[in-house]
Amino acid sequence: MSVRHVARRVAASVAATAAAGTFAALAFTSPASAAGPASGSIVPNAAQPVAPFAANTPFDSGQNINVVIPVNSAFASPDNSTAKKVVECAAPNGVVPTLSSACDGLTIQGPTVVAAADGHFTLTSYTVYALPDSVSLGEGAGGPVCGNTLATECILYVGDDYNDFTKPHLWSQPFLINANGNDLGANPGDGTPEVPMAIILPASAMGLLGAAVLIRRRRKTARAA
Amino acid sequence: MQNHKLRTGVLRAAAVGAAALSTALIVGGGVASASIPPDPQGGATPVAPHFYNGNVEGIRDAGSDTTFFMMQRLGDLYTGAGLYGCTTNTTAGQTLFNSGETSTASNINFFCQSGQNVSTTDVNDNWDRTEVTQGVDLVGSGGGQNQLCQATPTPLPVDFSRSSKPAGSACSDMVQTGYAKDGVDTLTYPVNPTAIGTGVAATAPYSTMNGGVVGPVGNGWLPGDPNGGPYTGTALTTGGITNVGGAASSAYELWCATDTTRITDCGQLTNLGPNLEIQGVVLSNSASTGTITGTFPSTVAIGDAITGPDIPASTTITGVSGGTINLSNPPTNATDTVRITTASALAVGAGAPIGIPVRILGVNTNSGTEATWASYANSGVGSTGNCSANMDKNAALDPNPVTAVGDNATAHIALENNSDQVDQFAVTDFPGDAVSQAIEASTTLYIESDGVYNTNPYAAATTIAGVGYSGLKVPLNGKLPTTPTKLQNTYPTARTLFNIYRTSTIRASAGGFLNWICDGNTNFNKGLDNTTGINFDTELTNAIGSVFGFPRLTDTTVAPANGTPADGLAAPNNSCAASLAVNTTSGSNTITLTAGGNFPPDIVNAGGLATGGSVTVTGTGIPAGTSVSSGTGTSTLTLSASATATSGVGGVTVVFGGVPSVTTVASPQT
Repeated sequence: MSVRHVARRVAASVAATAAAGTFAALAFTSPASAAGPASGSIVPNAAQPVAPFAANTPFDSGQNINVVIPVNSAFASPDNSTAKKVVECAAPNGVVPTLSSACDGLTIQGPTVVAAADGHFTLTSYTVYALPDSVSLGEGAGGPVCGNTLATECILYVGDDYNDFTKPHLWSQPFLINANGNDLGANPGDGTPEVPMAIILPASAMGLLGAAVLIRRRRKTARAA
Repeated sequence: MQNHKLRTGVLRAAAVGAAALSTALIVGGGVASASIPPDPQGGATPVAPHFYNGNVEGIRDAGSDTTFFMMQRLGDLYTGAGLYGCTTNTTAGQTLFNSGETSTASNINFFCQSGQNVSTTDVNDNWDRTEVTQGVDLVGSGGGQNQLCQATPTPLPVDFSRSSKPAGSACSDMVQTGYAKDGVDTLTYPVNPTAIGTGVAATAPYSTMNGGVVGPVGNGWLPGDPNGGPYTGTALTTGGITNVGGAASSAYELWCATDTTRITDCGQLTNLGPNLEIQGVVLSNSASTGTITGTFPSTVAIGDAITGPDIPASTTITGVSGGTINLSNPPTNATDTVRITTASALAVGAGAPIGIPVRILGVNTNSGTEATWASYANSGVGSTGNCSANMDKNAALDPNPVTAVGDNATAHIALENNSDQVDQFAVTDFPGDAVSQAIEASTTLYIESDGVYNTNPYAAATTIAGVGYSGLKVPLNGKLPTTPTKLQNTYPTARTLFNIYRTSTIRASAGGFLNWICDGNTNFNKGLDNTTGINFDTELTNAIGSVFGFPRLTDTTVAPANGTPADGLAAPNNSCAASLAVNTTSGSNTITLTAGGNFPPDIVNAGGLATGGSVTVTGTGIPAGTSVSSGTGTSTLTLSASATATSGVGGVTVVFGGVPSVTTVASPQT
């Protein structure tokens, strides 16, 4: 197999993956109805950094963020009378977890959160941790992992019962978080680069395709010469 | 061409690398060691930490409601592990693991055989097939401790008690093993009675309050506010409750006080200003005054704006004296509810009454949850406090005189940790009147385990007219329950969840189970749960922490800076670790047991833990960072550092990090 074939296959594969990822992201983020996201949806930008923070930087363990849930059909009346729980869950490569064991109950928020009749709410000062967290949560290995690589991406579960994914719930956008050994959140970020992946992946695919075409042309030119 | 070769080389290298990686993964993931394990230590003389005696036994706990379901899960995991335990005796005359027993035709399956393990045998997780059950006849931590100590009769044996409060005084030899943290929350229920049915209460006494129209008082609704909000009072979730100030604290005044300081009206908690509502103001046109029985709140001052249906616009207060205010404009003669705009807010508990009683729902006095709350409410007052015995001094009665008869004539006392009882009492009190039921629920304060609240939405909610309303956590001393505030004991009702055993009666099988819970793959490695493919310790951590919402403590958890939260009850983080009285000598790096004898074999020499680490030693006169160097199983341990103090008579108690709590058992055989 030539380099050209390899490059072509890689480029095609990446492009397909990126397209699929983009499609999946769009599918998740599209509102299910006029009432906003339906249960199980990802809510883009639900996990919002609080200024000041560095853009294009993972969250920093111990950083306080706001959890902003817009109008939605998942928590709208009558479900709004049930308190909402916010916990961190492992979401490797941004894939929404399917098992409750991916979620870390020790990361639950302190105050009770009750949604408005249209389902929206904002939880301020929610503390995010790189997981497992021994400093503040007293954790050892074995539980969900949230870190700063795509393989250790994190996501927030927001809903009625993090032990039961059949109950109304939404997900934040996947994000990255840096461990720091002290949970002071001294280098706050915005949890990216996960969100721009929908842009980066197609762009990367285009780049690879372009490179393949370039190589092909050069070889043609060389043969002609 | 050279470029082409280079690319080809790179690809070949990549292919070879990938193949090698794949091979490594296959080898690493698929071909595990499958040797048959030898029998573990134990038998006629069971040894720590597992205390295997080779006898199939049943053990039973009793007590706490808070930990009941969690212990069912942990007990099930342990019992389930026994599926891959020892091979029991099948015929008479077989050689048994326990040399003190004999296999006969009448005791088939009673004992583990010697040397009969198979490839699937798990020697670290309930090898001798103990069966764990949970008692429910006397629910509550205090009840469990009493049964353990035989201070209260028990229909079935109790090996250890489940407890959400520290060991008490039912007997003198109780040892507590704290394996999780929790906190006790007080909840207010955001039910809006005006949004239910007609929105008007049909039954006395609620039908007589504000014309039967009562909004969600806990959310800050005051009479006259729009039913759907916004509300001008202070929500309980904002104001909170404190125990700072002893008898003058809002917690004491709600739950304990029986004199005039008792908080009886919802307005005292929520009608704080600056938009202060004062009811029953007698307005005088001729005197240009307003008067009330009693005195105006301390924040009412000259210059405050005052409004009311019979008060001219732009009227201000020109004088305040006791129960009389002077007004800048003469009002119409009337008795009104007025609003005064104050410069500052009153303290929670000092608010102006609004004529709607607050209800305290009593809780089972055997409960550790109740005991924790009683201690919180009573703290700073001591043994003379009205909650020194329990928190139910002000438990509310059925407010409806028609139904407050017979069995319903006494104060409402609920089981701990289930908000749904709030509506069950309300339905009994106001049959057929959902609005009155809603008022009863919305004016109720109830306490509940934070872990239960977080993980059981049903138990966190009261259901009125078919809709479940989750309770709202009320801040305590300005704090809310989070894992850090519970672990560090900064949440005022942070507490440790224990299993408690007696040194004089602990059986080998119970000791092994308690140690299995306490150790987090530090002293010994748990095996894979053959049913799920997950390590048992991971399953324990997940069950305790995420399924039941309690931060787990193990034998390596260190003590927090503050060992006792504001409720005055010690909440240790390191009681899952072995704790022994030892003799120390200043300048010497050796210690001996005060009681004599040998140290247990699970206090291993340096590097001997399953993690490869060493057992840490902490206590008075032991330098920070000290660990065990050598001497395991002998009468003298050598430490990595010398003591800085000499222990007196009775020695000094030190904690051995990495060693689970039970180091010796009283009953090695059943």
